[in-house]
Amino acid sequence: MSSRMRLGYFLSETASNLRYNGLMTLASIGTVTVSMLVLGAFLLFNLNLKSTINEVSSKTRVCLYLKAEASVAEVDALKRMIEGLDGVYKVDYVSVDKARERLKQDMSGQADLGRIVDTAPLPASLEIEMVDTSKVASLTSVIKGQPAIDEIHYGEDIITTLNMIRRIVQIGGLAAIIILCLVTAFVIANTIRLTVFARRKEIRIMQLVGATDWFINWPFIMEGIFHGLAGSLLAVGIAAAGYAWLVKNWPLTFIFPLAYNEQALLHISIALLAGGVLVGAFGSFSSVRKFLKALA
Amino acid sequence: MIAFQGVSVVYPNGVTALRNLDLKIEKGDFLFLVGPTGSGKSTILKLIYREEVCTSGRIIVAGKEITGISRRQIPYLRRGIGVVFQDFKLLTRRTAWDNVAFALHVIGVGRTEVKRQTAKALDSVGLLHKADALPTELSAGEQQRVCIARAIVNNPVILVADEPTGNLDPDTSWDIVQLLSRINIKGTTVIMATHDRSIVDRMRKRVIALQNGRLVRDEDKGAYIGEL
Ligand SMILES: Nc1ncnc2c1ncn2[C@@H]1O[C@H](COP(=O)(O)OP(=O)(O)OP(=O)(O)O)[C@@H](O)[C@H]1O
Ligand SMILES: [Mg+2]
Repeated sequence: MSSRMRLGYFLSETASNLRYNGLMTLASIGTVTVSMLVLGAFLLFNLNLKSTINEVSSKTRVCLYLKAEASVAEVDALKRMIEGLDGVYKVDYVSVDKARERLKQDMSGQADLGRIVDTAPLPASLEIEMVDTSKVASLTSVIKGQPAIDEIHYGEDIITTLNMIRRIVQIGGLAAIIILCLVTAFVIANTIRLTVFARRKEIRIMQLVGATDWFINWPFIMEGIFHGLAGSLLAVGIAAAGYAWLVKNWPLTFIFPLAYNEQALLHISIALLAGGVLVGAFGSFSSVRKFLKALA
Repeated sequence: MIAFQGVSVVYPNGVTALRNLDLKIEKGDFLFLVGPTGSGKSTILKLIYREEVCTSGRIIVAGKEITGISRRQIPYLRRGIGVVFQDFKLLTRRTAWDNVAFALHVIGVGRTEVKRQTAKALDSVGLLHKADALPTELSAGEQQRVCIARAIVNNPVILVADEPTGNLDPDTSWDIVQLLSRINIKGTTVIMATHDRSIVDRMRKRVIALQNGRLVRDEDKGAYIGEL
């Protein structure tokens, strides 16, 4: 049999299997949809959390206020040392004059404050931009004892909180998704088992006339893959529509804008489809294999 | 063609179905397996197409030791063996033609070849004119012919029949055995388990009698009951 004909045979077998138990088919497609929606929600949440963290971090600098008596050589050495540390993007020296300049700009319009700014005792500082904000804590612990440093300032709370949320969501989300995928595979396996059972006579004859296990398996595995694909397509559709709506109606756009990165959204869709197909194939395969082993 | 060497079968429930059986079947033989119910006839047939595995001993089919073959090799063994059942095991929602063609389809035979072979097999059992009938529209004898057509459609070297006339009236039974005999004459080794005394006595072929899992008689041109 040519491979095209063989495909035709498998497809028609699959189609008639699908017709056979419509209700169970709907149930298993539905479970795939639900779990892939959860996976999608998780991935979207993660995406937004990541972009929020990046956003916040890019605005976050670690600011080292220097002691007035620190020498130029000392400051220079410190700057070079920090530049060599992990997670540091760049280090800028902000002199007393420059700090005063900035403050003036920030307070422009409030003319009567100009005089105070001129006389205020502003310290010079080093401003550190981070590539990786999760390294902030280790960075500060390393430089804490340096004699030239007076004070260290950074948005430590928000970054650590966000990173912690992300960690928790990742672990909890992954656990939930694994459980959901197992449940889904189980539902699919049971649906396929029904089809297999309904076709046991045919399977029996196929075995007797010398059909290989693979030949017998394929229509059932394709049925499972079909369930997975249909369910995850539905999930992608619902997730896409839902997320588009959410982005449009998001009340916090100015504080935490939702990520609408097409590349990332495409990756998420592909992940959902692949997840559905894998779960479907896995569920049906485990079901058929068990059955064939029992029949031998 | 087929050899059993010291074959014993003990089923998982502890029943011993065959005890130390030695048996040799030559290519082109026509052989009846007789014996009281539970004597082990079906077990012998199942061993040949490896539905069952022997507990001890060796079985050689078509020059190949099948005792230790892997699961993956079983389909290829079975492609050389046609099997006929007392209850036909036809697919009730498929036509006679489809039932026969199915056996070729599922082992990957191409469409034109399927057509050619199916027509030939149905013709050789005299049912080409009823190719489009569903099993329910056929008489028991006709259904058994479809089953035989399915068993021979792949030109097997061995045909195994477990009480193929068990559900048929005497005249129809005789027709079926004549059909098996014609298939045998073309070179296929035929092994038939039966309780049908008149058929065995009329055919005068090799008879192997079993009792309680033991071979108690093996004669050429034998009868259902041994001549003492
Ligand atoms: N799958 C099985 N599990 C357990 N015991 C079995 C199994 N198949 C057969 N037996 C037992 O093995 C013995 C031989 O059975 P077998 O079917 O070979 O007999 P038989 O000669 O074909 O009988 P019959 O003429 O009634 O068809 C019987 O005692 C039967 O109960
Ligand atoms: Mg029997």
